[in-house]
Amino acid sequence: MKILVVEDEPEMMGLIKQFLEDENYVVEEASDFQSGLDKIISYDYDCILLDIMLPDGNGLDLLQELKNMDKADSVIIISAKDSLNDKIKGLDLGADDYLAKPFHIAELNSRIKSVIRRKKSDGFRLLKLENVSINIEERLVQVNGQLIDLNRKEFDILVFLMTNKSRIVSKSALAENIWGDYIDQSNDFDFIYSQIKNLRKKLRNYKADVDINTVYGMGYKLSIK
Amino acid sequence: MKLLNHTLLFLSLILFTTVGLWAFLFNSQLLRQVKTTIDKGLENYKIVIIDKLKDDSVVIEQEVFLDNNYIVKSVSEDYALQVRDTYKDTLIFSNLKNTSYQVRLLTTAFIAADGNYYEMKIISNELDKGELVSKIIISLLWLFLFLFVGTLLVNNFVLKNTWKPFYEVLIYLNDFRLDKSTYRELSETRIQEFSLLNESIQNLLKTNVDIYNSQKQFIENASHEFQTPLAIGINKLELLAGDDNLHAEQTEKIGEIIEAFQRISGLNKSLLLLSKIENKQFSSEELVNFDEIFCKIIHDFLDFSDFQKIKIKYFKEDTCLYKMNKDLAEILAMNLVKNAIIHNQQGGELIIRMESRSFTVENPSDGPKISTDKLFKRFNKSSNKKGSTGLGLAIVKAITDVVGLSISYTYCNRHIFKVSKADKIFSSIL
Repeated sequence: MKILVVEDEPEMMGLIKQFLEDENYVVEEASDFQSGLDKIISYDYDCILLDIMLPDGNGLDLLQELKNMDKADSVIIISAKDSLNDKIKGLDLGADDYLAKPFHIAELNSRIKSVIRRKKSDGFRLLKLENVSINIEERLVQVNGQLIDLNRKEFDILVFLMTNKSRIVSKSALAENIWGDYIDQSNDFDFIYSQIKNLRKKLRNYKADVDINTVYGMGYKLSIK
Repeated sequence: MKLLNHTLLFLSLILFTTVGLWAFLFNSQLLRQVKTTIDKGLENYKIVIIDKLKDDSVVIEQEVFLDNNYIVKSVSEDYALQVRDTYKDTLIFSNLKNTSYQVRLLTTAFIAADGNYYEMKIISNELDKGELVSKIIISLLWLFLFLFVGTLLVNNFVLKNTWKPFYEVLIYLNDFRLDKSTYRELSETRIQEFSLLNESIQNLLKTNVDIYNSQKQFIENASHEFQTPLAIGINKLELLAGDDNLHAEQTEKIGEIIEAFQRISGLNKSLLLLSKIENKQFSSEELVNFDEIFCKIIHDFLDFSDFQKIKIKYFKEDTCLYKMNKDLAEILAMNLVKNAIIHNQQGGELIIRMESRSFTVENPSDGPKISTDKLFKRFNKSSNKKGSTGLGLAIVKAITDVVGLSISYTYCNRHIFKVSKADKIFSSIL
């Protein structure tokens, strides 16, 4: 899996690169519009993380170039500008997703995986970990081939945690992902606990090899027994 | 009142008083003229009669007005000498017509050829003053009608034409939106004052558009500058927290730092949102259904409210529709609901009432009534509840101000926030 990161902020670039390499992606860097354009013309990528504000141009123009070349690379716009206009423009130009800074690493991870998953053929749309497998399209979860009945939120939590396996997922990242933008800024995310508790109970009942651990003060982590 | 009607009213009032005054003067002047003319005639007539009578050797006394329109009677010298020619209006009874009629009467005295003194009274022809006056009044009414119609025509054609640039400016200003940077020129006008007005307005708007744009730019840049270091900080800490060599306490500390960062980020977002709202950067409008919005938000907050054991009750009398930006409507409803949950009692309830022209969000509270002028101020926290930024109600107020809704707060054992539609003034002017 090859990912191009177009980002002018060196610290941010370093961070994203470190995290993507942890996830075993091949990472290419471009720190300005011109080098980004060169890379887009020369290579194909599974996913491009695109910052809109670049020192020598606008990331949206890069997106336009990509579209003009009829390339099918998936694009996730990463912008510090939480501007609705840019979001609409970006998605209209064919971007797959839009993520406003600051974001959680877990959220970025989840978005990249989901974008890449959409491109794959159906057979690969399964998320598997030990004896748990999730069919995201059909929203089905099986443990040892046995279907578990999860409600919508429990399902989304499990997918988010599975995508970010062995990573600590903060409560706020989880809340924003599952409950949406309404909940952000509310800081008090304890209400997530009841959903987690139910999900954990169901996983244990079905003897899943994964468990949800609470990391005190931070959030949750999916671990393998 | 429309400008045209206003001028029409004033013109009519002025017209009515001046024409009325003029009519009065004209009437009395005319009547006086008529009397003078008649009196002159009587005087001439007198001379003719006296001349005729003088020649007669015997003056025949005539006691009643017959064909001759005069009476003559002999009087003493003393009496005759003190008689001066006098004219007066009088009523004469006519046997023929069997009715009284108004005439002008001249009383005079003369000395005849026989040396005797005589008093003579001469009457004019019938003088119908009433008819004269009514004729004059009718003509004046016609005149007034013509003048009024004339004023109407002047108003509708001349004034409307004259004020046209003014109405154009009015429509232009009404349509003008800072955020829609479609800046167009006003059409030229030959009237100096209007062309000056147009110029001033265009200069004013241009300055505003420039300021607005630079401010918008500044806000976006500030947002960018803040969010990137925050993103770096949060993400570095998240990566650090994933390090397996850390103790549980260290991870917890990292979690606290992330939380603090996130608080800054949230505050930054809220402040940016506030300035965006106040700068009217949410431009697109559509007919928003608050019923749908509240249903969605109640659903989204269900887990949150359940956890706090708060019961949300929704009473819908009618749907509340309002033309505004949909994102703002959602932010408005969300902040009200969130506010009512955060400042609720454990196990309390949250009541939302939807009516056609307003909606209310109510929650019980242990706290006392909050002073209204403080309530919507930024960073005014009544309590140190977790999750309160002190900006939620400021955002609500900013939104209602911008979109022309009004919000009121009342307290009766619970906090009641009522958002209602204000009557739009502009709709009927043009």
